[in-house]
Amino acid sequence: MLTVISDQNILNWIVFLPMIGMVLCLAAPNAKAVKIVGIGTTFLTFLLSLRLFPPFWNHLFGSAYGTAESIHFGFARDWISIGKFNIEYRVGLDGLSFPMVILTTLTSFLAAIASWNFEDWRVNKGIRGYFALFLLLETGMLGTFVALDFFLFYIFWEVMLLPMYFLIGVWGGPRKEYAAIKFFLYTFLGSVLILIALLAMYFKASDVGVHTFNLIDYATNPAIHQIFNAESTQFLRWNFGLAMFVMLFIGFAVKVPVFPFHTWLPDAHVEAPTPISMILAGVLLKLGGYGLLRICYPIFPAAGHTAAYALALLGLINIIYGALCAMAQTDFKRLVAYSSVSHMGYVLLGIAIMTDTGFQGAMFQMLAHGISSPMCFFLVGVIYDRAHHREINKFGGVWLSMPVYGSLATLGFFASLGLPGLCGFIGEIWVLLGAFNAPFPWAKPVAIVAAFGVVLTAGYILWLIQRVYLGKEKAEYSGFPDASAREVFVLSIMGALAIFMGVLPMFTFRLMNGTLDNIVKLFNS
Amino acid sequence: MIDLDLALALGVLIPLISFTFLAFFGSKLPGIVPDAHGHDEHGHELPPDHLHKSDHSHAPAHDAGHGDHHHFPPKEKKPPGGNPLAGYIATAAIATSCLLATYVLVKWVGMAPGQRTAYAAEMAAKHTFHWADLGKLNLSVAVNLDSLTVIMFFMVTFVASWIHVFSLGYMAEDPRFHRFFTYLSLFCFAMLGLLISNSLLFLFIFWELVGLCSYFLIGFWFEKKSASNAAIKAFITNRVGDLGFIVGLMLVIFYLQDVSLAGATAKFRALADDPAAALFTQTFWGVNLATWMGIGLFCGAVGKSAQFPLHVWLPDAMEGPTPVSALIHAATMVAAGVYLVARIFGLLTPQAQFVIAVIGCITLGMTALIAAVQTDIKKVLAYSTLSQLGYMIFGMGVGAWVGALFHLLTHAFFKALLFLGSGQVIAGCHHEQDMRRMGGLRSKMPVTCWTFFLAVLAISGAGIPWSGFGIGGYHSKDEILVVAYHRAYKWFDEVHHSEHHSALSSSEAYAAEPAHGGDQKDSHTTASHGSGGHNSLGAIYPQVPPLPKWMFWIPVIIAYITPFYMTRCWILTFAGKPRDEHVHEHAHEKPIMWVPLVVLAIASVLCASIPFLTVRLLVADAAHTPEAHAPIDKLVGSRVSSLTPAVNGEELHDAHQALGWIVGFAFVAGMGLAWAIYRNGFGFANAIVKSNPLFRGIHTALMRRLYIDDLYNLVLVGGTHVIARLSAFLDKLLVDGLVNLVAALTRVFSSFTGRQLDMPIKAGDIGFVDAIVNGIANATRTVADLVRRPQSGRIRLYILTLAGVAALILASVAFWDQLEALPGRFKPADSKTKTQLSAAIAGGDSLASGAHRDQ
Repeated sequence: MLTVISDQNILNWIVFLPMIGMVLCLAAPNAKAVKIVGIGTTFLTFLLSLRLFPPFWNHLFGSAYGTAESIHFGFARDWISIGKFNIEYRVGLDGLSFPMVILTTLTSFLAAIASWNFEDWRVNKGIRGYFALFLLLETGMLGTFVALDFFLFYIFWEVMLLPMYFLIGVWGGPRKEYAAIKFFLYTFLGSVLILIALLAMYFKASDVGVHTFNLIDYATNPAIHQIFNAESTQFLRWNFGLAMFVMLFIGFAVKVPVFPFHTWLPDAHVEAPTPISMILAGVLLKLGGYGLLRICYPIFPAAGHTAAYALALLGLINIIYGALCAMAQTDFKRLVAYSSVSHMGYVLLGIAIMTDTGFQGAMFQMLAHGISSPMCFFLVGVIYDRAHHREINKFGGVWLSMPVYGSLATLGFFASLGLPGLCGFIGEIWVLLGAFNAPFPWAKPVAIVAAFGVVLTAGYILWLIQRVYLGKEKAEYSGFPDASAREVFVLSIMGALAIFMGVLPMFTFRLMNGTLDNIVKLFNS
Repeated sequence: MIDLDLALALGVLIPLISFTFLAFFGSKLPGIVPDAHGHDEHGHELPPDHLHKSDHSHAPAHDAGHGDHHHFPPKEKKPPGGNPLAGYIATAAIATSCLLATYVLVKWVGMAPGQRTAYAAEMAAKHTFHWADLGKLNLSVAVNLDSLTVIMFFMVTFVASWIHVFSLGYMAEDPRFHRFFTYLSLFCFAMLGLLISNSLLFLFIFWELVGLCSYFLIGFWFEKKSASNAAIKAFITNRVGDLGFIVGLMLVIFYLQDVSLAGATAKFRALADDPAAALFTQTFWGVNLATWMGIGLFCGAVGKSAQFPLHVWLPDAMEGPTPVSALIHAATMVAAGVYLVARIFGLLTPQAQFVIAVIGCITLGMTALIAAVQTDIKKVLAYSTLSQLGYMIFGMGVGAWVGALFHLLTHAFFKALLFLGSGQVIAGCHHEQDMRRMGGLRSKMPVTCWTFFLAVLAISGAGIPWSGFGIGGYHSKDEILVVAYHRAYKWFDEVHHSEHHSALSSSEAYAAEPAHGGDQKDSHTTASHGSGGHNSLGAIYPQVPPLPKWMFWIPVIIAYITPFYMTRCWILTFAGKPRDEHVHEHAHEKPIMWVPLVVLAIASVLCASIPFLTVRLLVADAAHTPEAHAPIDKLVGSRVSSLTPAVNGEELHDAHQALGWIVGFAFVAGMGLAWAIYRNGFGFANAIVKSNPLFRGIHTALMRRLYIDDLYNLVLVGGTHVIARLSAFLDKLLVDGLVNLVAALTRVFSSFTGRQLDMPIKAGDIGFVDAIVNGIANATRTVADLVRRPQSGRIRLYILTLAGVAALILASVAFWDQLEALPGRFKPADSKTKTQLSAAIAGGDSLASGAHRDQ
């Protein structure tokens, strides 16, 4: 029976449930019903995704390593077979994608709740379209994370793009068109490069007789691995592996975003409505890092090695330069956006050094940022809803008028700052320690310079807290109501997760360590 | 009974529980009505204007606009004054921890030293919790149970308990009373956690958490810009130190592969015996990595213990409420840096140790001079804390491991007493901190006056030379100086002896090496292994240079200045005639605040005295680590595990004798001088300063804190802001500008191709292709419009299209099973057969294979 949700088809349900919700949204009679359908759908999706825990749960209390190697909840069917093209609908979960799926369903749920006050927004028309696109976006994100066929991955990747474009471009701030088009063009540029790599890889694999887009095959089939990474394999007179790696990297780097492809991010964040910023920071940025870990490194480890220095340097620039830029911002949301640039630098640095510690740190940092960054954006949203501006220097004494909100804000920003005991610390320190231990001659200086990021981060965050939350109470803000139950709900879930991940990181690590070990093994074999 | 380590862990968790409770329910606790304050159970009715006045002195900025208060909407009007229930909960929590600590202390003292080690090892094996994996490195958590932890734990809980009691009185009128105690509980948790940490990583985690609490508490009255500035300064300065600590930690993990204190020390010790160890042979800027590691870790202590050049935050931290200054910025947290150095002592090389001594020496000298000119009572105490911390760090640097920790413990009691005394004065004088407006308070505050005086004696090191009688700092400071004296004047003898010793044994050792291997660690050695800095343990001692003589004399001179500035502070506050009648008139003290003073006064006298030598004994016991089987030398190396000499000051009788003459009467001289100059207030001192331009210059420089803060503000803070602005500017101009430029060029190009080549839009456009294929161009334009500008009207169409496509995908996937079941429709192959299939048709006809599938 179709209605029965089994281990075989649960991923399909999770991916396409938001789409069912989308249809319902379009059919819903009034605005309230739309919101309920939207939130209900994301909540159901989240609940459903919790059903994915058991196989990973087993690793929590068992041995830490080497058990999460197999793909769980796999589902594969031939999909499009035209000529030699052999595209599969192939999905599955491993330690890399599972935490991301949970992060996506949770962030989407919280962002949907954050959309509850849609009527108060600057652009408050077309709520059906908004929630429909929102849910479509969720399908796109989930699909990208679970896809194990490169072509399917690419399709979902593109499915994400357009809803985001419209969500920013229609419901955004004053410069929404500019931001939306910038976002679209940037991402599309990346997509084109990914598409080229996709086709080139397919044909190259066909050379050894394997007609597949299967990402796992690409990484583990010895014949493919050999031809992909061989010195002699060429692509337009370049080394094939390196060319593919660079194209894919640029495609993913736009999403991360890596300097110098990062300027779409502050604009998109500033213009996007709060929930969309949450999704953007919480999930979309992670797709870049996920893509690197899923596609670039397992399939082209040799190229990864060649490019390691450049990537680590870019990560370093992200960390320091992002933090410096954040320090100079006067727009609250822009500052948080630049802090994302800085934090994602740790992800890139952790990935670039290609060690287990680095990958662990990068994955953890992605999850930690996936918690803390949406929290910060939501915090900005809460104050923006009341003050209708985001000028940091105009605020002051908000903690006095909104004590609960002020306390939760402090928690959120300290999580972002990387305070030990909160999630941000683990990712940062793992990456820094991992970078120092990496087997590259340049690794040690890079790690030490990157460590300066912790001072700069503390600088801009504390300065921000001082200017917004501390100080004398200002008359114009003293009448603000404290955070509502809805806002406290969203913030405390993220706050609790930030504390949990920071205090007991082992539980998060164990979900993914097995898979990361397997990827690292691919380099060493 | 409960295992001792679990008792300590419980003692750590109880304040955490209190914090969690207060954080959630602190503001909702059943409150007291505002006017209940008038009937304060502790007597001493507050003058009616007290509340109003104190509120203003918390936030002087309010003085500018009195109207500010009245803008508050009704919902914000909170009852002024705190809810004592929150305070009672926090106090009960820390008192429970103190009881647990006492229990552990009693049990621990009851054990024989050998038994303690065995017990600790057993407990560590029993209660170890796997926390996370760093790569393949297992990070586990256990309670570090040894004499140092036990005595420190007791000291912190004891001092903290009485400071909590004091705060009940001091903070009574504060509207954020519950929040104050929430933070205090969090601080106690973090500080105690720091003490029981057994690994560098956990030390660091709690290290940052105490820093966080310090940040919150310094900025407790955050309405004041100066308070929030001070809080930020403290946190960031500490982060700079932590940066060094992180680098040290990186080196530890890379070279020692272990972050546990015992494990890392043992590994370090083993590497020191390995001639090829990269840690000792590789150098950076001419200094070997082992030394860098030690200096890096020490940077953390420089930040937290506010040593030069990161000392600037501590005086500013006096913006916090005075009990906070007593607890965090005098007794416990700032001493954590010294505690850290004690814990990493086994990871230091002689060179690193020398750096520590120099830093300590600079700090103790410079800050004592600044303290002598301050007029704010808390600033005097702050600089005196810096100076005393300098003594401790200096002690660590010269190898007075026991002496420095001993001084830490005695200092905790008398400095907490001094701060609480000043807190009593400040509260009693309506938050007046300026000594220029005090004077003559002894009649109004007798208990405060005389307990404060006792503390002044303690910090001055008052005692009877050679008799063994003295209070507070007498024994502990003396011990540090004794070791310094020994290192400066007697070290040559030791070195000679040691060199002789190692020269004798080296030939033996070479012969014995293959057979005995590691067993000969202590004796097999060579005099020198060249410049790389590598040496095995026995040969390290000759490498340790004698202390430069000035590094002995500076602390000695400061030992004369300390009693001077502390007595000056006491005289200006309590003695003489009142300089401000208004302040004097209202001065009063409250029992809830002076009882802790008396308790701490008793503790400061007794903690170092003969009948209560537990403190010294336990610290000395902690110096014997498990690895210390047999001391190389009676005088050198009670802490044999390390490369650095740790000298047991107790045994240096000659030095003690000499020191009796050198500093034994310093307190008399210093206090006498202060009495001579300040007994009639500032007049005489001001006259001296004005008499001579040189004095004036020195005075101004000291008042300006030797311009170090100004320099940092200008260069570091200003520089960072400039660079930040520049980065943001470049980001907008260059990086983003490039993007926009590319976009603009593309638009120009496309407009050319679109209008001139393709189709005309305005009159005059050529529109070459358009003329040929007008229809196709129009279609393209429609699509282009759709993409170019999102318009709500078209979105629905777009979504519906997409939805339809997606629904088709969904349906085809979801119904696949059914479709499959239809005979002869599809032949889905599982991946294995498919691979075979594709292999089979690899070179074959693609159409054929397509056809095959479509069947």
